[in-house]
Amino acid sequence: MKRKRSRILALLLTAVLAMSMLAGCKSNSGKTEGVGTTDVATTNEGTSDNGTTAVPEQTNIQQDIDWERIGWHADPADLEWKEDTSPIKLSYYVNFSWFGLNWDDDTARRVTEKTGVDLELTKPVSDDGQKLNMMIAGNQLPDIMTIDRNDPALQKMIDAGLIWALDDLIDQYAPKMRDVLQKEILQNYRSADGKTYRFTTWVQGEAWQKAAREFDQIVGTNQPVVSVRKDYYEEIGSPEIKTKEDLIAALEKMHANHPDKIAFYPADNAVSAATLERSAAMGNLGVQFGMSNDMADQGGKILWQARSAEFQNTIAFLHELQTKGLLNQDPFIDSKDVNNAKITRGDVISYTWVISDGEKVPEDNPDTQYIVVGPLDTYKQSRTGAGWLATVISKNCTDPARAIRFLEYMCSVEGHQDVSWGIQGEDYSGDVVKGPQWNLVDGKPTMLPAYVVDKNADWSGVAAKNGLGEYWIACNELLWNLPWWDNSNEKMAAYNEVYGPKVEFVPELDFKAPDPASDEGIILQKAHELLQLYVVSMVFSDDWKAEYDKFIAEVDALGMGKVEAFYDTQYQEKLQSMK
Amino acid sequence: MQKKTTKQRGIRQNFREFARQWRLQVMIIPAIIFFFIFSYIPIFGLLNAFLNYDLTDGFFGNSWAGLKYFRELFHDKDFYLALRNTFGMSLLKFAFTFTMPILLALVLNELPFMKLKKLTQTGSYLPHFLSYVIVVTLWIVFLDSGGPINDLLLRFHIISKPINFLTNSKWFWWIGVMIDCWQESGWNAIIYLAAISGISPELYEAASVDGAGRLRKMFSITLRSITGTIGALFVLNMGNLLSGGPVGSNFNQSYLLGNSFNHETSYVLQTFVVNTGLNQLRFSFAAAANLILSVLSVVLLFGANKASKKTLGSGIM
Repeated sequence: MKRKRSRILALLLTAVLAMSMLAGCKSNSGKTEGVGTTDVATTNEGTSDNGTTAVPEQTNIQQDIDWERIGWHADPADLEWKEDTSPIKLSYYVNFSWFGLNWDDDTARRVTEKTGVDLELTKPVSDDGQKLNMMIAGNQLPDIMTIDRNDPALQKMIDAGLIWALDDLIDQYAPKMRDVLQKEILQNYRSADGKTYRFTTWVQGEAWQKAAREFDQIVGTNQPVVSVRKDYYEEIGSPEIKTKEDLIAALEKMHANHPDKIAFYPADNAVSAATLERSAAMGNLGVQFGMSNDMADQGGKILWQARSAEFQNTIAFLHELQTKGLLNQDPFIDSKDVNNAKITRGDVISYTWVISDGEKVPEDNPDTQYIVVGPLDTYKQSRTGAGWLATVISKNCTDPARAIRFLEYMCSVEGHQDVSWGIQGEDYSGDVVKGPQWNLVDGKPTMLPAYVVDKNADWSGVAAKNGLGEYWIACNELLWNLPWWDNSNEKMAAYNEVYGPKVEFVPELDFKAPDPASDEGIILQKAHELLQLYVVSMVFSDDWKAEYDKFIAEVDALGMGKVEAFYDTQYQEKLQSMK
Repeated sequence: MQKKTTKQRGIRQNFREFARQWRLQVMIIPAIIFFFIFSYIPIFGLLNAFLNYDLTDGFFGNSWAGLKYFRELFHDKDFYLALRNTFGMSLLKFAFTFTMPILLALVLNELPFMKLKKLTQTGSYLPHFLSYVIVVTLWIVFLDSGGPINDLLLRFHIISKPINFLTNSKWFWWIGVMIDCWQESGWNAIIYLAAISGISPELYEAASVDGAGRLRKMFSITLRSITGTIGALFVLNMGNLLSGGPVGSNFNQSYLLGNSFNHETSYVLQTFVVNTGLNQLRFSFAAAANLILSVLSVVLLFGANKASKKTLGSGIM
């Protein structure tokens, strides 16, 4: 009897197992729907419960802002998104596993209440592009997506006609959106057919540059610099470091006093394979010698950075350090964590990184610190200011009219107010969610200092609570960061004075990369592989110039000229269209 | 005539037996479904190697490329470097990671105290449960130019200048062998220990009576008795040879420890596939390179099976 029962039990178990396996293949669509509906329920509950999720008063605060100084303008009164604010669900995919929020916070509720748009936000589990590739292959693209603007998958989707042209949607459903857009968006990112498919975000366009110079914000804490250990530097009498030769001489003296330390250490992967596989500009080290982009204007023509005088100068510098025993192999293989560990241990005498990482305190002598020196006379940074991410509306979109109008709202001043600035008011309540978070000071929106303290103490934690400053779906960097600009910081103002003039903006150097599977794409990738190998063989050989000539010969044999021509065509066209 | 009837009876008997055990037979259905979905259906993906595969066109919307990608492969000089390294590294790893567990099992079997034996065994297989990424991160710290190993060697005046373990190409294969042996020998020894425990003690007693010493017994009884197990594992592991022997760590090692300095020895076929294929969205090219790897593995598997049958008298197929 007992045996029979256990047999039946085993049989049942088997059946259940088999069923669940089959179910695994099918339940996908059903499941998401289920989750989706509960989501709606909770969101609605949240809003009705929490009547205080106040929509910030629209008492035309925008009129009181000093737009002239900022160099922007208030929203036109009747933007199209206001025409229809009935509830609608749009699916939104952000192609970054690290994206922290889920559209279930007060900021999201505020936006949903105002516009009627509720986003069903999804993200991948890992950043290898697999999920996006699957969605493309399975024709399951969501309504709206945000991905890296240089992601090859983006161009693929545009070429395959899976994406709506912004110009078409704007003309049809939201003509006034042109008044709230930065002028670069529809001008600098056109595809071959003359249309723009991507809403590029974080663009440092003309308006941003003008305002940033006005408010001393061109140079941020991510500006590349050279740092040295203060105690060692003072031992040799703190000589001025203005040229490559100054730096080498100072390093030699300091290393003679401390031979067990690494004299020079380009940190943050500046010379590691992770950087060289993408660019010959050598990250924060290259900037010290005037390199910023993989492809550079050399005598009116686009050539690969590895051919430039600046590149050779950098290699010559590293080679000289190597022959003098001031550089070892570590920075070429260490990861970012190891970079950080070696510097905080005090193992290095000097390093290149950025301002925010330029003043670390070495563990072996807490009384001293690293200090920023320079800049070298060769220092120059060319920024394209061409942005970081791109938001697109897929042809699968259930309601493209509402989608484009949603973007119109998100990129307007009002949208930035709701999504990035928060609630306006005089006194911070102490609650990061209730705010208020900002107020007008001398006509400029400014974060309340007490809130800034709380925010800085736990940046991502506060974001997770109130949802502010994270939904950069259609962000205009000028408006986004405006209230955070604080020119009372004397140190940053001083940095701006020194480094600001050495920063130039060259939007025409923002290129579309060749299709990776095309001849140009394959050559480019091979060239970068060669670069990785040759940078170390040049620096660690007896005669760097001989190795360099060998390298260039091999690159030419690969057919790099073809790739350079590919970029040069784009360049000449851009120069024409930007005139 | 006579023959046919026995055969028929055989089939009928088999069927009757099957019918009697149907409750048990049903249990294999999930496994069959599993392998069908996850192992058999993906085989059709191999077609990619012969198609101009484009993500946006879907699986059935692509044009035939013929052998285009194979031709591209054979004209790529990195492919040959990767092929050489794959074979070199795999053979070296196979030689060590296959024999180490056998030696370890023999040694463990000779340990006199039960407690000591248990302790040693547990200690030896614990590293198996660490992820390769963690293991490699540990070794990166140990082998750093300022790390504890160099520090120790310097203090004992064995060397006068730190050795660049991670940036010298001649160390790369041996680092892999060492990590694999350290991580997996204990785990792989378990199966041999199980086989050894099945040997009848009478054999040892009889040998002792005949005056056999400890080493004699080890070779003539213990090792002899587990030859079958060794053969079976040899064949099974042969299919895995090109991913790095029984541990299959070639890709992990190359991806995590490879760099521009040791490129000459660290670039293997799997990294080649990832770099030139997947990272560049060249799926057909990647599929072609991987197909070559798979075909070689299958050839090795069948070859090893045949060799095993000839020399040891038993294979697995």
